[in-house]
Amino acid sequence: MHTEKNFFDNIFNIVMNVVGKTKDNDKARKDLALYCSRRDLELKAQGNGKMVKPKANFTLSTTEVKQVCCWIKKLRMPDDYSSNLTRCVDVEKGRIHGMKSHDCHVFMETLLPIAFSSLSIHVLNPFIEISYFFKDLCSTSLNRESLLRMEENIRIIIRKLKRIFPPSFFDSMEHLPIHLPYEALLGGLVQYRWMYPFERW
Amino acid sequence: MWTINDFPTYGMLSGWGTHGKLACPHCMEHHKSFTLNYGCKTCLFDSHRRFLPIDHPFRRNVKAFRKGEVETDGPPPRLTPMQVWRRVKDLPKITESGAKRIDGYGEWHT
Repeated sequence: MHTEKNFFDNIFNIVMNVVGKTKDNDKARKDLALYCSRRDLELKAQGNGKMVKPKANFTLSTTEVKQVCCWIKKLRMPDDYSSNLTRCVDVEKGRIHGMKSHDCHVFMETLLPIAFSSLSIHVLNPFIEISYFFKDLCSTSLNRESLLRMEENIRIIIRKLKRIFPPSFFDSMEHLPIHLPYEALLGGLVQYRWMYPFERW
Repeated sequence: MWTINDFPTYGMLSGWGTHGKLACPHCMEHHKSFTLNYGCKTCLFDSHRRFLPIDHPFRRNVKAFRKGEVETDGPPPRLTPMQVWRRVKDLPKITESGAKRIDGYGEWHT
């Protein structure tokens, strides 16, 4: 449950480029030059001795961030589906605050592919896949074959994310979804293990 | 993960410290994490290619992931209940030994 929430928080902050919370900072770009070969994302020297950070293809521009925030502001959810997300969004600063873990769960599984649809298709596809992965994992019935297939899929999805994001994005929380299908295989449906009914309010 | 609580609480309940290089309670000592040079944080950037099939093209990709590295290792082994029991049955109690850290701390357990 918290794996999903933390994963969502990390993805959302890095794509919306929230100042102070994004993992795509100057140090991350320096590490990127050290460990990866992605010339287009490395820091570039300006004439006056300062370094400039090129815009990455996984972040939204300022106008797109405003559009996403306005879209969330106008969202109307069915009764009891999630809390009122319009209260959480700050359109001026382009950030979201005070989301409960169940709101993150709803956003991750249903709204993420729509919210980030202005990204280019090769960046958006892994987001849609990770969204469907969590949706499948939280479904009301699971069978052994589908769990084994999800276990194969999540490995490739995480690898696709690694081609997009810098190394500093991948802490232990981004590693744990790999083991979630195995735990569902042993422990059963997530409804009986994840405490959304109690964490929701 | 297993518990209804979050990951740091999982560390307190299970006794497996969920921080640093040995954070993942499944991979344990077979981790592939490293510390970032500038970010100074533990990173599990290259720890997923080992889970792929042995003939997957991502394993031989030297450009898209870590510079110039090819993955040849298989996934970490999954312990059976007997193996887990053999590991933990001889551990001293903290009241008996008095030592806060037993041998191998930070290398194969936390």
